[in-house]
Amino acid sequence: MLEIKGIETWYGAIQALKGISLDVKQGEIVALLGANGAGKSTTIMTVTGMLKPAKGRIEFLGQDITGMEAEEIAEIGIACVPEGRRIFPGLTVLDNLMLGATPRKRVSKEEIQKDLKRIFGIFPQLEEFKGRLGWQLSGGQLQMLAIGRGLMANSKILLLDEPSLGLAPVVVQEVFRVIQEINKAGTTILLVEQNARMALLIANRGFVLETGRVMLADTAANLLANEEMKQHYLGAHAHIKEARQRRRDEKAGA
Amino acid sequence: MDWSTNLQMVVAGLAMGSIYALVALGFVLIFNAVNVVNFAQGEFAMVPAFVAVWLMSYLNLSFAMTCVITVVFMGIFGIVFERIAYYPLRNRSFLPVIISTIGVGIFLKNGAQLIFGAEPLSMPRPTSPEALNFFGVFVDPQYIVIILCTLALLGFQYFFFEKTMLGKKMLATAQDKQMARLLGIRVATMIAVTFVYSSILGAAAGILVGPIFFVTKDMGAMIGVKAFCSSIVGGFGSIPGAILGGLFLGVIEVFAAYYVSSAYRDAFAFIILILVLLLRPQGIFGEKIAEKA
Amino acid sequence: MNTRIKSLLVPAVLVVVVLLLPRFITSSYWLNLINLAISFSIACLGLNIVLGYTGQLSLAQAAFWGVGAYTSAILTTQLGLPVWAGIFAAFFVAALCGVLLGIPTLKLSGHYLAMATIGFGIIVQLILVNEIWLTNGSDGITKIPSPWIGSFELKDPATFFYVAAVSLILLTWGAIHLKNSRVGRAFMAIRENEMAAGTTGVDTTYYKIMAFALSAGYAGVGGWLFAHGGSHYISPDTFSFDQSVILLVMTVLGGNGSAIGSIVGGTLLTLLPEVLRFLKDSYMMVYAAGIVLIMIFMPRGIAGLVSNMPISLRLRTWWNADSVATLQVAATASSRENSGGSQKAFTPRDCSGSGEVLLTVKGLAKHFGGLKAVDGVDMAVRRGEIQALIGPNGSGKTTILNMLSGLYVPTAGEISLGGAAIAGKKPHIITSLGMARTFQNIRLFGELTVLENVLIGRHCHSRAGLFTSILRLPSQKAEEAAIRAKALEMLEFVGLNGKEFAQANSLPYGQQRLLELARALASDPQLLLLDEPAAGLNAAETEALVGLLFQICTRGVTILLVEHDMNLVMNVSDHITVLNFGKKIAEGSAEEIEKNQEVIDAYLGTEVGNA
Repeated sequence: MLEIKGIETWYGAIQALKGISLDVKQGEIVALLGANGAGKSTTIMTVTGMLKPAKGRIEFLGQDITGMEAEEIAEIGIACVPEGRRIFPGLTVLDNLMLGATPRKRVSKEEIQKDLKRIFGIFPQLEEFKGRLGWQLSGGQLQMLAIGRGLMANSKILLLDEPSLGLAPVVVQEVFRVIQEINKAGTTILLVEQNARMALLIANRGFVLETGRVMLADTAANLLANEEMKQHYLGAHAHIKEARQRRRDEKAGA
Repeated sequence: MDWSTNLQMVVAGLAMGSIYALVALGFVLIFNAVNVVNFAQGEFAMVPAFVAVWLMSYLNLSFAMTCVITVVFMGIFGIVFERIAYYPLRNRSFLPVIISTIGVGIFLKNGAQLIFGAEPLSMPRPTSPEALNFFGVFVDPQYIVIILCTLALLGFQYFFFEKTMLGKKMLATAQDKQMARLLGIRVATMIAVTFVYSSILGAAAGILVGPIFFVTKDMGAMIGVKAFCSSIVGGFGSIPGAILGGLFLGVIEVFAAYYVSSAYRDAFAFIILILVLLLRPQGIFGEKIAEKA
Repeated sequence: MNTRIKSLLVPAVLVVVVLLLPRFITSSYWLNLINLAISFSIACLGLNIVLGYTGQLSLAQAAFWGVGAYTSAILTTQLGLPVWAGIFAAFFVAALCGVLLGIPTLKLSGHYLAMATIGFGIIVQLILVNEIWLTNGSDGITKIPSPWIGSFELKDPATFFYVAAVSLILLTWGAIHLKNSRVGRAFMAIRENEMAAGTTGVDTTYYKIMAFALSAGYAGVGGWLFAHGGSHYISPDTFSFDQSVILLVMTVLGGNGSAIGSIVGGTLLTLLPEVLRFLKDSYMMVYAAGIVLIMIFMPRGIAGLVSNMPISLRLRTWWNADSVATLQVAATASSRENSGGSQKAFTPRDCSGSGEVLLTVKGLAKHFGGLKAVDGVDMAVRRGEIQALIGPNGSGKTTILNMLSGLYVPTAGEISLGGAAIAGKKPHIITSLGMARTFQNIRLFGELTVLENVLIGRHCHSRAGLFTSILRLPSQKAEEAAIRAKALEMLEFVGLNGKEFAQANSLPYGQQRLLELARALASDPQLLLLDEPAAGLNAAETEALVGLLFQICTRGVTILLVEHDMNLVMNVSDHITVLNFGKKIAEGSAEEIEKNQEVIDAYLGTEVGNA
């Protein structure tokens, strides 16, 4: 469905992506993992057209979308829930949701109302607070609203950038549950996460980035079992004690 | 000082303040949309004043016709201005943009002088020159027109931003351009519309203020800087702040000119500006903006 | 060609040009015009200090220019002050006005500042028009005397030209010296990144006011030349907002930040109207259109164009050849001195881990409106240790660093560094008390060289003031040499030697991080705050960083770091504090933290427990 072939993206003089290739198939959840600065968000931003790749090709449903403007990419069915949620702070919850439907051309009012109902069904809190302004919401509510706004585009694929960022563990679980639910309802999802374990638990496949390159690509189950993954991203610090001991010895020696 | 003089001054101040408020709104809308202070904003009021004088005095058009043509003209003017002074510099720091808007301002001023001459022109009044007598308070009817028109425009603006999707998209663009693009909002178009709208606000200010002052090439400069002061005094970036700040400065100025010194009339706006900056940098009516690192 | 001859070359050329110019240009009309151009150029030099060096936009330069002209004119015509004394009066009164304008307005930046300066200009003009007893109102002041040397009156344009030219040369010389001094670097640090300038030890308010005052003082001297030369007549309408704009355009056209550019711009735009006379009434329109076109097509002005030409690159290389060589010799010497490479890059301190507490934080809180970003945190950092601050995003880690380094004023709580209470103090004070920091999203002085960045890091350990810098006194030279030596050591320590003259933002990402570290270390901190130092580094770079951290620590610098890379954190930290939702949820050694159930739930994830 979405295919990225060897994209390279620069921020001024700094090369953030050094040839990234990945693909997302219809109906999947694909996790994009890696440390801070590995290039995950840059990849998303390049797909959405906010950044232009210097090299490489991006195809969506067989159509070459490399170098298209962000507005056009939104209209052909790629929706994005960016990092930090980016809710319009001075607009109400309802307005934020309605603006989410901007990319849909020639859509009837009834259809929009129907989708609004559906989203309120997934996030009952949003209906309760629909008159509140963006800045008055809590972190969890903001994330719900951001996802809701992304869904209003009724897109074929939804890119989610760090949806768990800064949320309490309970809320994170809720967010991931919703992501699964959305996916079951038919939306393909490309999920960027630092919380690799959580992401892999709901994903079909995963790609691990490091300094602008894809280091690992496999099914979620294989990645969860991968030793290297365990050490670097899944929080199993087997060799750490060793290193620390070394430093202790050095200190004692000095 | 009897109460009727004071009341007359309040009305005069509110009328002048309405003009400041209209131009200040133009400042704020453009600033919110593109983070640029348009130093030619005052000229957005000077140009339509000249256009209106010309239409009325030389083509003998009716006042209504003049208004329509001037507004349309200023709408186009807004787009042209955006394309020349802002668009080529949109990815640069604020300094080149400021200088370029200053440059366009000088261009317009001298263009007006070249076309219309250096002599001040007077705009035919749509209202009677006789002052109306409200129980001993004498008020120039033009003041009433100014205040009412401003109120009507503000009402329209409220409706536009609160009730229409185009208004919402403009607000969204002002609040977060990147996100707006991700949602498929045509940000460049929204910005152009903002310039057009703010230019039309200038048209209103120019047509309204024309009859009470002479129309000169320098009329815009002073209105412009005072309108900017208004927007800071009211709390920069805030739409209600710009309106309240404009009215506040208009009234203060009239009173200070009367009671303190008329020679320094033009200085009071800045003295208040500096006081506000010192004592309450977020503006009199503004909320404190959260600091960020 | 050796340095001595080179250093005499420029003055020699100047003397010849100044002496010969009036021989070739005999028309007093043109000489007057040149004198006027010099007066403008000096005002532009001043504007270049505040705008080009310091990055603050002022639209009141013509007002300062007028203040200088009026001050000297009034004092000499009404009080009989000698004309030469008028220069100093013009300089100081204008500078004083600069300070008066600066104090309320320099909290502002960008547009606000620009508009406030416009207001100042309008007020000055109103005073000139209305205070007739002092200024003679709109009629202006006539018969302003010329300066005398003995019994010789410097009245005709050719003789006055010498006065103007000497003033211009001296003031340009001062401005160029300033740029390459401690004060000039402080100005440029503010321009490049005001926040980083503060945490690097620069008192930003003080230097901004200084820049404003100096800029106004320059304009004042320009005004003096205007009043006492030419028509010997001044009136308020000369010192208008439009004139301020013209001065601004001259400066920007010449090349913002370049002193020579200011002179070129000033001269060009003074002479241009003469050339464009045939345009008559439309001259100003053409002029204005020119401004817009320059902004669009020549953002860096004439200086920018010229300096990018191959010939000027070659010239510069030739000119700098010696100083680069000297620098390299110095660098090698310093590294040889420190036999054992970077081992002695720091003043050794006792770092036996005495257990003495260096930093104490009590009940620290920061609320943004209703959001409690940090909510009553207690912590202590012991001297000689590496302590880590971890927690989920949004848990308040960076907010704590910002409070420690003075960027945020805490809502409540106490911070003490080595016994000194620092909560709510300005960043530069905290830096001078021995705390330095780096930023999560690197904040370098991007347009400056690598070396300059580190030199600014040394700001709080050097003294040179405005006048020592401008005059380049021996004490300043000695201090510069010491700062340089230290900076070179630091660059070598982090492994950036050989990159001294590269522009900071041209470095690759990893090296930018190292440079920021070198800049922080240059201030000889007791405590170093690192905000996600490993973010964006690859495995090899991270490993190098770990080595560097140990070395820094061994040299006696205590480290407090915020980091997400658990591998790094667990590897290097003696002590870890864990935050969640602005509150401390755990602290202890790496082993303790790994086993702490609350930390696992909130942050680490369950896998850690199983390992």
